[in-house]
Amino acid sequence: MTKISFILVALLSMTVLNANADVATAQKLADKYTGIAKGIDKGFTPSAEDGKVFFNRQIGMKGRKVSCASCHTANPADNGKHIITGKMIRPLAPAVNAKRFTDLEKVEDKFVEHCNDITGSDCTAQEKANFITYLITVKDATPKK
Amino acid sequence: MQYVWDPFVRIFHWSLVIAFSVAFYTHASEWERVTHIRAGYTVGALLVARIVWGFTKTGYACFRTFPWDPVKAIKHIISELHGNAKRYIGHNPAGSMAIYLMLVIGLVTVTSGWLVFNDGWLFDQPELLQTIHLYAAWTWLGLIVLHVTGVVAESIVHKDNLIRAMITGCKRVTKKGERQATQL
Repeated sequence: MTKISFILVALLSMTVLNANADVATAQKLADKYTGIAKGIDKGFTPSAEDGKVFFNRQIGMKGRKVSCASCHTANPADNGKHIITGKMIRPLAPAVNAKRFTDLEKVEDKFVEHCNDITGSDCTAQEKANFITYLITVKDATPKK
Repeated sequence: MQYVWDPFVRIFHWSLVIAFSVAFYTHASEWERVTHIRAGYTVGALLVARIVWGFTKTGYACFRTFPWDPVKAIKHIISELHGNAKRYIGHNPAGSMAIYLMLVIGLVTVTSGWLVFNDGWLFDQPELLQTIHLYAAWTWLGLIVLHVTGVVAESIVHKDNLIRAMITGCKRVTKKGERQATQL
């Protein structure tokens, strides 16, 4: 039993420790989505501008107008606040939160779940490529007044 | 009919089924987050109550009547497959292991979920906690599948309805030889 638990703990820690959390891993995911998007539209290039629009776009859902920014605030480098539970959410931007993009598989799962929450379906590869490209450009939290 | 499961055990069992189902169903949605959390807290409270009950109660609910014995559990499963497993009135060895594993993995699931929800408490390891919560929950679901499979197999082999027994509390009256197979 103890042997098994040791192995389990070792495996679990490997999944956490092996990834280098930084902007480069975020870029890797952006590149992946860009590749998929290029397969659909050859001329596609990711746009941070479009990503920002996507992040702040308000959509009617469950009787309210919501966007990604509803919980994550208009600046992804700031702490967010969950609109249902009121809990604090750590910044999304990898430049200020090194713990983001450590596990790309998890990021992709969360992306699908959150897109379902806000838009009612998964987002397109174009939208995802644009959004991550935007996220990488955000470097600074809003200065405290 | 022989009375086996006390009302607490039965209410606990079906409440846990409901609470787990609600928590599992709502796990992916941020809109349902509050429901998920409440279901999770309910699961936690139920598990703690069952553990206290297992230590204080006598009878088939008591932990002492169904020991932790993985080897015996595997042997029981093998004889179950051959259709000649011994009949137990309370938990059989395989069932006992399923119960203990579910209690442990249940506590891991609830604790990790609680720490994920209250991000930043105790351990500043959101990534690790999320991973533990995810794997624990799916492991638990796997154990439930095994548990239900075992219940159905046992019901067929011993021509008894174990699901009904968990509702009414009573099991089929046993033959004399079978009765000796109980742990009490």
